[in-house]
Parts: sequence; structure tokens; C-alpha cells
Amino acid sequence: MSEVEVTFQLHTVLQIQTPNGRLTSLPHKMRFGGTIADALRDLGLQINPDETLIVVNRQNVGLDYQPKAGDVIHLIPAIAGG
Amino acid sequence: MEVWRIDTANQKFGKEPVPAHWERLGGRALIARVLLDEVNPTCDPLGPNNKLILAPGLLVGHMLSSCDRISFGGKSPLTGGVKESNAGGTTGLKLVYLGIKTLLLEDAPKDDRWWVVYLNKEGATFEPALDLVGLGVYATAEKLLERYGKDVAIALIGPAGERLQLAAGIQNLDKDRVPSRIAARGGLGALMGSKHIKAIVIDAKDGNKPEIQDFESFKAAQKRFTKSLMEHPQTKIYADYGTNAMPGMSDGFGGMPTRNFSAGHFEGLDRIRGETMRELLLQRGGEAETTHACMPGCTIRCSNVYADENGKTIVSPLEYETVGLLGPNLGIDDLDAIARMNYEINDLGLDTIDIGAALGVAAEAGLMEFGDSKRAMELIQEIRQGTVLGRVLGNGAAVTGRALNVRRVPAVKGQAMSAYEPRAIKGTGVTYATSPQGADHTAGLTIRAKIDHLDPKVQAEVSRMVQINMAGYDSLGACVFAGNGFAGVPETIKQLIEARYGWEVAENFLQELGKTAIKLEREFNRKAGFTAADDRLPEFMRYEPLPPNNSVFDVSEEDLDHIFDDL
Repeated sequence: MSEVEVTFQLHTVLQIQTPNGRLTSLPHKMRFGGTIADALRDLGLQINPDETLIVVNRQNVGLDYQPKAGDVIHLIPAIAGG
Repeated sequence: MEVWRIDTANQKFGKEPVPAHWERLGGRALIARVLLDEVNPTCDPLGPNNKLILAPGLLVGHMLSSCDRISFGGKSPLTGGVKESNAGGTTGLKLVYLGIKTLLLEDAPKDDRWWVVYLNKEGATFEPALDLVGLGVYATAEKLLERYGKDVAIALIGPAGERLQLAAGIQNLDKDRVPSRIAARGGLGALMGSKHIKAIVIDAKDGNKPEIQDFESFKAAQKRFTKSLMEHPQTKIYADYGTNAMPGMSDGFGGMPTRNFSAGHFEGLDRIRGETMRELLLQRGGEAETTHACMPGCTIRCSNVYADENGKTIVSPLEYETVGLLGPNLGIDDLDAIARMNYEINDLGLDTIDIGAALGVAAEAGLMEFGDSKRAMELIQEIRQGTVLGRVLGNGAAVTGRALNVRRVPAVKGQAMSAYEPRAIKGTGVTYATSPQGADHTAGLTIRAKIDHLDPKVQAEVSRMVQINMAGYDSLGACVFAGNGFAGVPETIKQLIEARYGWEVAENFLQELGKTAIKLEREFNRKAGFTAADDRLPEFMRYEPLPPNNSVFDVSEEDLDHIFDDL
């Protein structure tokens, strides 16, 4: 397997405003064994890693996480609560 | 600063100097100190021996961004233990302008008369409230503003407080004079009702800003704090989405309370989340506001005005906890319906968290179908009508569970959980279990921590740290979100306190204050009869797996029992 398909789910301020409205998710094909950091670079998405929660399968992961096929990767600008 | 005492039995007033050992305490910590000094922990919370305590935090009075909160406290009618509940708005600021360190409402009335307590520079007077009894919060505030003018601050209760309902809170005017800032938790509205005080009106026009011992140092620290707060990434998120930025994060961890805490993922999430709400409010325009300050001088502006399709206000603000408990927790995915329920619950003077949880319990008992917002509103109207069922619901989730024989009741020490599922966010479960306040997200949320929220071994330490910090902020009068600013420049807390008061305080003054508060609170609860058995989540959470994580709450009892050993 050389490529895996994943989806980045964007939350709050990361939902880029476009002429068509807000962008909530980004499907992405990435190299098998690549990391989230690699994928973000390919997508041109800039996040503040200290202030962004990266959540896969309801668990915090790091930029070095290697996504599996079908993963939904939530990029959540962190807030303290509501 | 002075201590002002209101004798509700004889409609008298007195003031006295602040005892030396109260001087360096404020807000939550001062309330715990006053309770231990002056209130019998085993007293009837609605009887003459309890006191309603108003205590502005130590930093209140300077329009320092997000730092003018007022703490209300007493022995909780809901939990039977210590209670502090704080709110934004203008009450704290105006009390400090009158030089009030703490205002104590004491004793109990001997007849059926109700009063407005009017405070100004001269002192306090009792004015009849006959025309206000039975009125909702919004109509009461309107009448009081007509009577006393637009510049007063007001703390008031609704019909639920008058009826001594255990989920009643105390509302305060926001900067636009809307009575929307509620010290909601723990039934303090019932405590105020037990004193027959419908409202406290604070007229500070002849008052003064508090003296600052070293003005230049204070201003320099204030500037650094404000800069840090405004530059913090979270500030923009709160300004754009309000606290309702949370649903995606909670649900992302499988921690969104759904259908009476039976699941942690809500399928209708996209219809109620903050991103959707923001888009809706921008489209609707008119009176809708996506960002709004609850206190003068707040730079975060996390509040909002939720308007209908014609741009007319339904409620302000619509917050995450309310959305969570009246939305997913009831299986409801309609923001307009949630906002309308919010308005009704506010007008009754009730806590939306405990009422939302009570409605979830009622749904489990078969009194409504999950997802049926029309029926949920009918149940809220039962509270207004004062029917037997309404009286049960108005006492909150724990009483409702007992009355309707429901075992899945999301409450600790009798107080309902907020919109974070403790089986998915276990650190917050530790907070719910061990906070002297009962289940309360403001006592120490852990969802922001980059940890494995399901690992039972790492939760107690995170919860402990956050609980201490939060108790500190609650004693300063600082909003939880002000903590983002202070986190970047923690030394400004010491600088502000020293400049304001001329004291010398420790580098870790915030934590010392927080530890003092929790220590005093635990002592009060111990004397009230609380034991380690009260520091537990409802048992079903230990054996009923929560989908989609299918996790249970498995933090050890040893961790819960020893979390505050070294305070």
C-alpha cells in the first residue's frame, strides 16, 4: 500500500472562509507511513501545535502520528472550556 | 473596605471593619472563610442560621479585563455543603465602588413581606417588593431599572428562588442591563429567597474606585496582562464563537453528554455547534451578535446575542453548557428551540445545567421523548405553573431522579454535571467527584490538557492542578478565560495584588489562594457531615460503558481520596 486516504476535520478558526462558505473537512491522499506533519505541509495548512489538539479516534495524538487508511483527523484549536 | 451586614429579620443594616484574617481573601476563598467563622455547617440551608454572602474577588473594581466577577456563597440548599457561584456583569464592580469587601444577608424574615435591599454610599435600606413578587427575572429587572435608574447594578431572583427551588440561581445585570449573568449553581437563589430578598440594588453613583497603592506598577502590570490576553489564540476563538466553540471538542473526545448521559457522541452535533451558530447569527443580523462583553472592559467578549430569523433577540447569551444540557443531553438539535428554553429557564431564575439534566432524567423516566423540544418546553412551563411535577423538576436533576425513580442521574453531591462526560474526560470526572462544590466544570476542567483522557492513572494530578488554579481565579474575581492572559505573564498576578493593596505576596499567590479556598471548603464540608463517600461519581458510571469509547470511570478511589492530601 503506497497511499492512504484520510480526512482532516477542521474546527472553529481553522475553517477557512472561502467564496463558497466555510470549509469543514479536507480529504487527503497521503504517503503510507507519512506523518500528520507531512500531510499538513502538503496541504499548506499551518497550525500552532501548542494550541491545537490533534484528535484521532477520540484520542490526542502528535504531529508525528502516522495516519491509517480512513482516519478522520480532527484539528481543534484548543480552548479551556465553556 | 468594610463588611456590610443586612439583618433580614428586622430589616436593619450595619457596617464594620474587615477582620484582619479576612483581608487577604476575596471571592471564593473569603466565602469559605466567612462560612467557617460564622455559619454552623449543620444548619438548615434555608433557615435563619445560614447566610447569603456576596464577595467580590481581590482584583475587582478596576475594569481589568475579565476580572470583575462577583462571588455569591453560603451553605448550599442543593448540596448541603459549601457553595460559591460567581458571575460577570456589574454587581461586583459596584459593590467595590461602595467599599464593600463582603455583604452578608443574615437571619430570616418573621413574616410574609418581601423586600428590595437598596445599597448606596449611605448604607442599606429595605424597600417593599410586593409589586415584584411572582415576576420573572426580565420583568423584575425592567421595573427596578425604571425605579432606580439605569446606572445601578442589580442582583435578583426569579419565581424559582421565591419558591425556594433548589436549582434557583441569582441573576445579575450585564453591561447592557440585561439580567443574564447568573450565579447559577447550588441553589443560592433559594437561599436569597429564604431571606425574602427579591433583589439587591447597588447604586454606586457616589462611590469611588478603590484606591491603588502603586498606580504606575498597577498600570504597567495591567498593560502586560491585557496584551498577553489579547494575543492569546483562545481569545480570538471565544470572540468568534463564544463558549459554544466547545461542542466539536467535547464530541471529538466522545465526551458530549447525549440522551441523559447514555452516549458521548451526538449525531446532530453539526446543527448545534458554534460554527453553525455563528453562521446563523451572521445571516440573521438584526439584534444578533456573535460577540458581546458581559462585563465592562472585557476584551474577550465571549458572550453573544442569539436572535430569531427576524433578527429579534431570543436570549443573550446562548452558552455551551446550556446548549449541551438542553441540546444533545435531551436529543435536541434545534438551536432556536434551545434558545427559547434558555430564555424561559433564565426568566424563572433557574440554572440551565441542573434543569437540562433534570429534563434528561425526566426523559429517561418516560415523561418526554428524547428529541421532542415541544414537550421539553411544556415541562419547563410546569415549573412556571408550580405544578407538583414542576416543583420536582425545579429542584434539579438529583431530586428529579429520586422522585421519578431513575438510577442514571448525572450528579455529584446533589449537583448536576456540566456538558463534559466524565467517562470520556476522566480528569473532569475527578474534578466533579472531589470538588467541595459538587459536580461543577468551573471548578477544574481538564479537556484542554494534551493527555490520554481515558487513562485513569494520569487524571488526578491534572485535576488537582486545575482545581487549585481555578479556586485561585475564583478568589481573584477573574474569569476562567482571563487565565489565558495570566498564563503568559503569571508574575502580573503578584504585581497587580501588590500594587493594588501594598502587600507583599508570594510568587505563587494564585496557587496559595486556591489551596486556602479548597482547604477551608473541605473543612466546612467535613463539619457538615461529608465524608470520602461523597467524593464519588454516580456508581453507574463505573460499570456502564459509554459509547463510542465504551469506557467507564475507573480512576481509583485511592486517587480520589488523596488528591488534596498536601494542601
